[in-house]
Amino acid sequence: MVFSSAAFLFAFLPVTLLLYCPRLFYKNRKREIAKKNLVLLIASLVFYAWGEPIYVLLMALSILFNYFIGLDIEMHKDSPKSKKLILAFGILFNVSALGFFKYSGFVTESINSLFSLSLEFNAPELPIGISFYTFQIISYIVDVYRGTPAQKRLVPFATYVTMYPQLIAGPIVQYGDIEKQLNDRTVTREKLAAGILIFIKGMGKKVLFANTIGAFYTEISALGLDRISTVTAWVGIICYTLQIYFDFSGYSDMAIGLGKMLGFDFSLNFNLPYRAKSITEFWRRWHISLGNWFRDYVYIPLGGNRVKPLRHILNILIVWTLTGLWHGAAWNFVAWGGLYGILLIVEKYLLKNVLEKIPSFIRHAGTMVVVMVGWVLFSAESFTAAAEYIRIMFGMGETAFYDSTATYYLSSAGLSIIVMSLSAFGFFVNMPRVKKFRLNVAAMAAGYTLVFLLCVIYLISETYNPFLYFRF
Amino acid sequence: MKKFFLRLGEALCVLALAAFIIFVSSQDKISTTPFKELAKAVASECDLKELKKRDKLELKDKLSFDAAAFDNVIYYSSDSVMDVRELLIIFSEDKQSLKNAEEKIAAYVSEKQQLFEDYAPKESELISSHVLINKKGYILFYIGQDKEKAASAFSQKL
Repeated sequence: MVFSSAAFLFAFLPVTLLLYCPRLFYKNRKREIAKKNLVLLIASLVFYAWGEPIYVLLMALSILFNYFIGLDIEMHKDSPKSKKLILAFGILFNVSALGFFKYSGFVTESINSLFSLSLEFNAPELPIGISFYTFQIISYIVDVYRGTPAQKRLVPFATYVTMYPQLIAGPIVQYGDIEKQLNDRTVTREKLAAGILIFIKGMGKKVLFANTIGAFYTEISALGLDRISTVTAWVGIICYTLQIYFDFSGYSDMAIGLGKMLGFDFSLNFNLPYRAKSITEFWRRWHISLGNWFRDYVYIPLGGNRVKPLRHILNILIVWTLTGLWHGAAWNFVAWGGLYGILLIVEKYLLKNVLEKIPSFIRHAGTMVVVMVGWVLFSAESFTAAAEYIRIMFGMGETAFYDSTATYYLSSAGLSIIVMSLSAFGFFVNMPRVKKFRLNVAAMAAGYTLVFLLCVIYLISETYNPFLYFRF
Repeated sequence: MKKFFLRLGEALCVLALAAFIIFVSSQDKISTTPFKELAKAVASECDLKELKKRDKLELKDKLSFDAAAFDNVIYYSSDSVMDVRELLIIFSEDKQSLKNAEEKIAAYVSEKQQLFEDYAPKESELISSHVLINKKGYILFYIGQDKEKAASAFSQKL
């Protein structure tokens, strides 16, 4: 089930909130939270089982195992060696499950093509959200290893792992950030209202922006690489750049909004990333929860930047190769992650002083070009297709620079590109008039209602409603 | 005692995960290979000389199943009554529909075999050595030369 679907909006969400919110059934606060957790757990399992009934078993196994591991680590807190061994065992279990379901097909294909073999392997379907919930679980056992008290009760722990707002597409919520909220949180009218507004904002981004602009990219990519000119290639990748941002950040906003409605405070996952003036800044603003996870659980344990330069470079490359692999089991994702690793190293070691002297708009434009080239690698079906697309973008392909197809897409997608780019760059957020306008409650309510209605109309009338981050 | 139960729980989870992986691996999942790509790869290995591409209606007339129900279908056959060669590739995510189609194709082959077996031994032999595979959301049905090559291209592309 996706948030931007009629089944979720008009059946699942109202029923869940009706069961979850009322306080009159509860005798005391502790019991209220316990029952809220239980309702949320059951709702989350139904939500997940809607699309993946069989993989609920896998998630349940994972929850049980890591619940035991957490308790086991805590029981051995005075024995560093045992504690470390149990943690390693826990990580091995989680990484093995993720590795099998996500990477086994990729590994077999790579071995086959590398050694000209034809090994047959029936790779399983990818369980939705496995990358997200595995990372959350790892964060839990590592946090317990580092001293956070283990969760003694199974229901709150299972609620943490399965919580449907962020289960299938993040943000990745670290256990330490939510531990207190699992045991004590309040659902107030203000929080509910704020949650609804954030949710509608996210749905607008996803349905009205991402789906609209994404349809252009889908059309352009279906033309075939022999039929797209340089200008069409740029229009295509600009459309994809906007689609992936509004799609993913929209979904994150919906998750944050839903969390708020349920009494949780999730951290911001996107902070106007396309305003970045360097790659380092871009990754501080894009998918913040994933960046924080890799920082806290991979980069810092490897030594971070408090090591010799060569080791630091290696640490960056490890983290970014893993980031690429996390996004998908294919070589183009490895290349995408590797590209960012290299660019970050170049920025840190070679361009550190140079960048500051370059005018801000040039830094911004340069960053955007690099990001868009990255999205080509990210979106391509294969590494070869990505390389050809990039060649066309920079006039090195065998197609024309400009043709009638480019005219068509510039005229049909042009206005959407301008409006959405301004929005993605945060133009509307910073306008003084907009700030003033936001204070007007009536206008704001009318605006949000309109966005919601438009989204509903779109969802009823259109069938194009993909979600790019589902495959991760 | 608590430690024992924790370890037992962990061990049982590991065993259950192993069992789950074995179960999931044994399931026949739908292939993600694009239909056009697979059809092109198989057709390039088949002897399709003088065969004509047929539409879903002609397929329905011949094999008695509603090809319109499938997501993707490609079908080649000859105008000549004595040319028994045929290539059919079907894709559907509905396993039951594929199973029904497979049964219809098997019945069609057996009928065709009976027609040819008494007076056209070469054709009859070709029919009897047909390829009929139902795997990962795809059906391959082929009567013709180089059937091993066609089957191998099909399996590899899946």
